[in-house]
Amino acid sequence: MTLNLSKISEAYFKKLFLPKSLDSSVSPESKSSVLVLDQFTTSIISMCYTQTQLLQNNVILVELLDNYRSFNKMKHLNCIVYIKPTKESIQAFINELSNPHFKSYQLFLNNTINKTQLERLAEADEFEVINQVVEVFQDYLIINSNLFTINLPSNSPTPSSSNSSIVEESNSLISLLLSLKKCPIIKYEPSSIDLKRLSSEILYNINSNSNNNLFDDLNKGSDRPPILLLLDRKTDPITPLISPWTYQSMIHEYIGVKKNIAEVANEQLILDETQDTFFKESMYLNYGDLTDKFQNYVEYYKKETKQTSIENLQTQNLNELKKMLTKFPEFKKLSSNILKHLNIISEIDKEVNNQNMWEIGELQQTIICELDNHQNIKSRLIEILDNSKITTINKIKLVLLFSIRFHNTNDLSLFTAKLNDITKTNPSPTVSQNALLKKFNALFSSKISTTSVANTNANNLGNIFANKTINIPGLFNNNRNNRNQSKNDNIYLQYVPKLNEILADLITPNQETNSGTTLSTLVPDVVANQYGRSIQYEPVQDIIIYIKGGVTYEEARLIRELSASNKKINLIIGGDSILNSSNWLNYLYDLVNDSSTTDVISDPTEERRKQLRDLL
Amino acid sequence: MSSDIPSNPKSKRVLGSVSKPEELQLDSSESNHQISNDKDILPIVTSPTRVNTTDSESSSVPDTSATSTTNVLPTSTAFDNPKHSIACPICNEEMVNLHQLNQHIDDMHSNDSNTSIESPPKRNTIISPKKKKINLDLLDNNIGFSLSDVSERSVTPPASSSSHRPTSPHPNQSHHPHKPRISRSHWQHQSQSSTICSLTGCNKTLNIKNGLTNCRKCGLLYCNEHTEYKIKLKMGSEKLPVYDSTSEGVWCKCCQRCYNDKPDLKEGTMAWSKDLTAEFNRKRQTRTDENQLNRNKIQKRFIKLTNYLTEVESQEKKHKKKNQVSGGGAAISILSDWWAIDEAEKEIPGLDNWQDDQGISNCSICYIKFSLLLRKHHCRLCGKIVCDDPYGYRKSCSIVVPISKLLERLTNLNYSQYVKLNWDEVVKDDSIKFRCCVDCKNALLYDWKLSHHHHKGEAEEVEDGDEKKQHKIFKAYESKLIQKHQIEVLLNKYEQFQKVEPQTITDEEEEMKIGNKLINQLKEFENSTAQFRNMFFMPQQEIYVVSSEYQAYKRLINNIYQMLIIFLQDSLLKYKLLNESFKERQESKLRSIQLQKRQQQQSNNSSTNSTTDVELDDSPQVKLTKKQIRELREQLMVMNEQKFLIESMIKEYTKSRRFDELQALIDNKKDLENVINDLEIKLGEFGF
Repeated sequence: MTLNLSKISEAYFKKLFLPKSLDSSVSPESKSSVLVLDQFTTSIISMCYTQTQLLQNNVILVELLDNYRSFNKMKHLNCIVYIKPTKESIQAFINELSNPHFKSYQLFLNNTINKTQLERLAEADEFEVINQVVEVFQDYLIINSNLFTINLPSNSPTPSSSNSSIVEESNSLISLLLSLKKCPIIKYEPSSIDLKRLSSEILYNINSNSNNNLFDDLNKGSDRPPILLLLDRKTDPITPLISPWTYQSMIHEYIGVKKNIAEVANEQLILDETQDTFFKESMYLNYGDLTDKFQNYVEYYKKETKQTSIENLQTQNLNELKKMLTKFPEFKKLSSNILKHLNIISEIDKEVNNQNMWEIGELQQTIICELDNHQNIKSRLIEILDNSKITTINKIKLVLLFSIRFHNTNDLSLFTAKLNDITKTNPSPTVSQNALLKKFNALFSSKISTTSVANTNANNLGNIFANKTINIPGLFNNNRNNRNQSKNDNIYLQYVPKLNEILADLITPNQETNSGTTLSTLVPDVVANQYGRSIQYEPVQDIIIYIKGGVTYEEARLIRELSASNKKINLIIGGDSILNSSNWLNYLYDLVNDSSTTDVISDPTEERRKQLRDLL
Repeated sequence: MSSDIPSNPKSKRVLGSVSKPEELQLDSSESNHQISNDKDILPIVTSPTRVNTTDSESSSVPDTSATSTTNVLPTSTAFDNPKHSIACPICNEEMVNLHQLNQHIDDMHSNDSNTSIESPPKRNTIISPKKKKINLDLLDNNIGFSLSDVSERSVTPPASSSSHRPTSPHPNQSHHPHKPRISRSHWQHQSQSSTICSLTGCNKTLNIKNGLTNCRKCGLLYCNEHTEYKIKLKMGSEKLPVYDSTSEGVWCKCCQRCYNDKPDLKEGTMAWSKDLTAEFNRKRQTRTDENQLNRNKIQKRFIKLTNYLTEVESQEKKHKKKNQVSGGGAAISILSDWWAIDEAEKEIPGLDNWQDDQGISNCSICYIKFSLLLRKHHCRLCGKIVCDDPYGYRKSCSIVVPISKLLERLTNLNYSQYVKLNWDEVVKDDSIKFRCCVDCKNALLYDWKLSHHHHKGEAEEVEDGDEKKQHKIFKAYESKLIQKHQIEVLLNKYEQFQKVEPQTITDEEEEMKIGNKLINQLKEFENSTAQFRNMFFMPQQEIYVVSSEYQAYKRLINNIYQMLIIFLQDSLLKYKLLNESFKERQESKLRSIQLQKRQQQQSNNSSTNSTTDVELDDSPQVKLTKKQIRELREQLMVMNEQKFLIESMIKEYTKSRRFDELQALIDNKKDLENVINDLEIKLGEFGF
C-alpha cells in the first residue's frame, strides 16, 4: 500500500512528539512540552490523536497560538508549535518570539512555508529559542485510512468558488501530494470550470515548486506516475441523494458526523477506525451484516463477562479469577464501546423505521438502476407520494431521482402537484424545493449531456426513447449495471456511484466500455522528464481522487472495495466536505436560488461565458 | 483458426527448416547450447564490444555450424507424424497439441525476436512466431551477417541435441538501438519433472493450463496467477535485470514477489517531511550577525551621546549658576546652546545617517504620514526620522528616554571618566533625556534582556510567588518523571525475560528480583501520585479540585495528574499480564518436573511409592507432605498477591471515583480473604 493515510498520521506523530533518538540522553524533565496549535492544526491533531496519546508522550499542555498573550511563562518547558503557515499564525508566532514564554521551540508547519516567511521568522528569533523548523505536510484532515477532506476555512460549499479558495484548495492538495511523496499527472473533467482552474493552479504549484526541489525525485522507484483525479460533484449529482445502507454512511446520513464525531443524545461519540476495532471491522458493512456483527459482539462480551463474572467466582478456579482481574480494564473499555455502538445503531434503527426507509430505499434503487419498467416504477412512486407518513424530503429525493432517470415533464408536474397537496405531504415543499424540482433536470442533464455520458445514472439517451416500449439504452445500461455489480445481490445496494466507471476506464482503458467521460490531462515537467510524454496510456498504480463539491462515505467504501479486489491499485479519495443527502440538497437549493436570479434558460452558457471571461 | 490446424505442422516445418540458412543455424545452435554456461553468453549480451573477444576465442571451434544443421533433421521427422506426437522444432520437446507447441515456442524461444521483449507475444495466433522470426532475420541482416554468424559459433559448445533448457539470449540481439534487452540467462529451467510455482504457499504444479512463466526479474518459474504483474526493468551491471522506473526501463512481466519488492511498494506510504532547520539556522545566523553589528554601533553611539549629554548638562549647570549672577542674555545663550546641541547630536549617528527632513513624509517605522500635528523627530542614535508615539498608539515608534533609565540597565559600558566618576548622580538625574526610536531601544537593551531572560529561571524565581508555585509543580513532576522512567526500564527488562525464557536458575532469580523491584516501584509510584494529589488538589464534595492557590495552573496540574494515572494503570496492567505469563510458565515447569519425578519414582520403586501416594491422596488433611506444603504455600502466595492487586485497584478506583465497580471489587477482596484464611488454616504450622 503506497497510499495509506493512517500510516501518515502515525509517522507524523512520531515526527512531532517522539524525541529524536539523539536526544535520548537529555534528562527526562526537558522532554515534557507544551503543544501550541492554531485553529487549523487543532482539528488536524484532534482528529488523528487522542489526548491520552499526547499525555503519554509528555505533552502536558495544549494551547492555542491565538492566546499567546495569556500564556503562563514556563521556562521549564519546551514548546512544540504546529501551525499552518498562514499570515496570521506566522505573525502571532513572531509576536510570541519577541517575548518567549517557553524554554525552546520546535516549529512544525503543516504546509510549505515560503522564503520570505522563513526569513521573517529568522529575523524575529532574536533570542535564538527555535531549535527546529520542520515542514510536515498535512494540510488536510484524515477521516479514514483512505478518505481525507480538505480543511477549507469557509466550510459551506458556495456555488461559485472564489480565487483565493481555489488557491487554498490547491495548497491543501499539494500538501497531500507531498506527504504521500507523489508527483502526479493531473486528470480532470474539462467540463468543470472550477476544476480547470484548480488543476492549472496545482500544475503551476508543482512546476514552480520544483524549483524549490520539493517535487523532484518524488516518484523515484515507481514505474508509473500516480494520478491525481479531479472530479466535480455536479457530474454525479445522484450518489449523495441515494440513501446509503452501510454503517459509516448511515451514521452520517441519519445522525451526522463532524470530524469523526457523532452526536447522539448530547453525547459526543468518537468514530475512529484506528482506535475502535469494532468500528474498523464494521464501518463498510451493510445494515443487515452490521446488526449480525453487533449481535456477535454483544454475545462475545456476554460470554467473556459471564465466564468471569463475580457471581461465578467461587466456583471458578484461581486461574480464571486472575484472568478476569487482569482483564478488568479491558472489559470496561469493551462495555463502553458496546454501549457507544448500541446507541448509534439504535438511533439509526429508529430513523430508518420512522422514515420508512426500507420501502423508500428499495424504490430509490429500483428507479436509479431501472430494475422495473417505467409504468410500475411510476405507480409505486405515486403510492409513496400519496402516503402521508413519508417525509417531504424523502419524497423530493425520489422525485428527483425519477426525473433524472425518466425525463418526462408530464410525470413531473403530476408529482409536484401531489407533493404540494397538503393532505398527502404535510410540510409542503418550500419555494426553493419546488424550484429545485423544476430545474434539477435542466441543471444536470445538460451537464451530463455535454460530456455525453452514457452510463448507469444519466439516462440522456434514454430520454430519446423514453416513450417507446423498448428502452434500448436502458437495456444496455441494465446489462452493464448487472455486470458491474454481479457480486451484489442486495436490493438496497444495487446502485454503484459513477466513480466506479470513471475509475474502470482509467485502470483498464477499453474502447468498448468507454463511458465517454473524457478527462483532460496535465503533466508536470518533473513527471515528463522522468517518464517521457507518452505516459498517459500506461497502466496505473496509484490514484488520488478529489471530488470538488464533496465526497460521500459511499464512494469511500467503493474505493476500498476496488483496492481490495485489485491489489495492484492503490486508491484514496477525498473532497472538500463529506456529503449526506441533506447537505447536498441544501447545496442544490442554493444553486437553484442562485441561478434563478439570473436568466434560467441561458444560464449554463451565460455562466460559462462569464467564467471564461474571468479566466482570460 | 480451426481450418489451419491440419496444415499447421507444415507451417511449423517451414518455420523450422525451410527458412533462411542463418535462421536454421540459429535454431540449431539454440538446441545445442544446452549446458553452455551462461557466463559465455552474458558478456555478449550486456556489451557488444565484448562480442569480439569471444569471437576470437570461439574461432577454436570452427565446425559447429555443420553439426548443428544435422541436428535439425530429427525434428523434421517428428513432424512427419503429426497425429501421434508433435515436437518443438527448436528443442525437440514433445508436445501434446499444437496450441501447446505454440505456447511453448512463445515461452521458450520467443526471445529470438526482439519485439517480444516489450510485449509478451500474443498467444493463440500461430502465425505470430513466424512473423517474428522473419523480423529477426531482417534484424540480423541489418546488424551484419558475419557478426551473428561468428558469434553463434562462439556460444555453441559441442553437446548433445536433446535439450530442454530455455534459450539463452543471442549476442546479436543485444544490439537493440535504444534499450538493451533484458537477459534471460538467469531463468529457471523447466525441469523434466513437474515444476511447482516458486511462490511460497502456492504449490501449484505448473503446466500449460496453469501457466509456466518465468519472472523476468528473478527468473523463477511461476503460475499465471502470480505473474500477472508488470514492472519496468533494465539490465544492471551484474548481468541481472534491475528495477528502473524511468523511461529507460522496459515493461516486463514479473512475479508477485518481485512486484512487491519494487522500491516504491516496499517502502509503502512514505509520509514525507522536510527539515528546514539548517536553512533556518543559516538565515538566523546572518540576521544575528547583522544585528550584532548594528547593536555594537548603536551602543557606541549611546556611549558617545551619554558622554556628551552629561557634559553639556554639567556645563549648563555651571552656566545657570553664572546666569543667576549675570541675569541678562540668558535667552540668547540658551538658544545658541540648543543649536549647538543639535549640531553635535547630528554627529553622533554621523551626518550621513542623519535623515534629511525634506523628502521624508512618512514615519520609517509605522509609515504614518506626518502632518501639522504629527511632527517629525530624529532618533538620536540612528538618525532616522520617526514619529512621536509615547503611548504606544502605533508601534511606540519613538519616545524621549531619560538617560538614567538606560544607564540603570547598561552599567558596564565604557563611559567617559566623567560619567563613571559621577555615576550615582547621573543615574539619579532624570532630567537628561534624548529621543530614541524603538528599534534602537531594543538593540541597546538586547543584552540586558537576554541575560535577564536567562537569569529569571534561577534568581527571580524564588522571589516571585507565581514562579515559586510553578517551581514546586515542576519539581514534583520531574521526580515523577524519573520514577516513571525507572518503571519503564524495569518493565522492559521484565518483558525481555518473558520473551527469552531464562535457562539458568540465576536468570530466574534475577527475573524474580526484577519482578519484586517492579512491584515496589509501582507501589511507590502510586504513593507519590497520591502525594501529588494531596499537594495540589483539595477535596470538595467528594470531588478533587485543584486547590485555589494553584488555580492559574489548573489545566497543567490536571493534565499531569491524568497522565500519571494513565501511566499507572497501563503499567499495572502490563505488569499483571507479564506476571501472569511468568507464573503460568513457572507452574507448567513445576508440573513437568513433578511429572518427571513421579514417573521416575514409579519406574524405580513402584511398590513403595504408590502406597505412599495413595496414602497422601486419601488423607491429605491428616498430615501434609512437603510437596503439598509447597503447593499450598504457592497458592497462598498467589492469593496474597491477588489481594494486593485488588487492593491497589480499589485505591485506584476510589481515586478516580468509579464507585460503581468498587463494590464488586470489595466483595472480591472479601472472597479472597476467605480463601486465604482457609489456606492458612490448612497449612497450619507450615504457614509463613
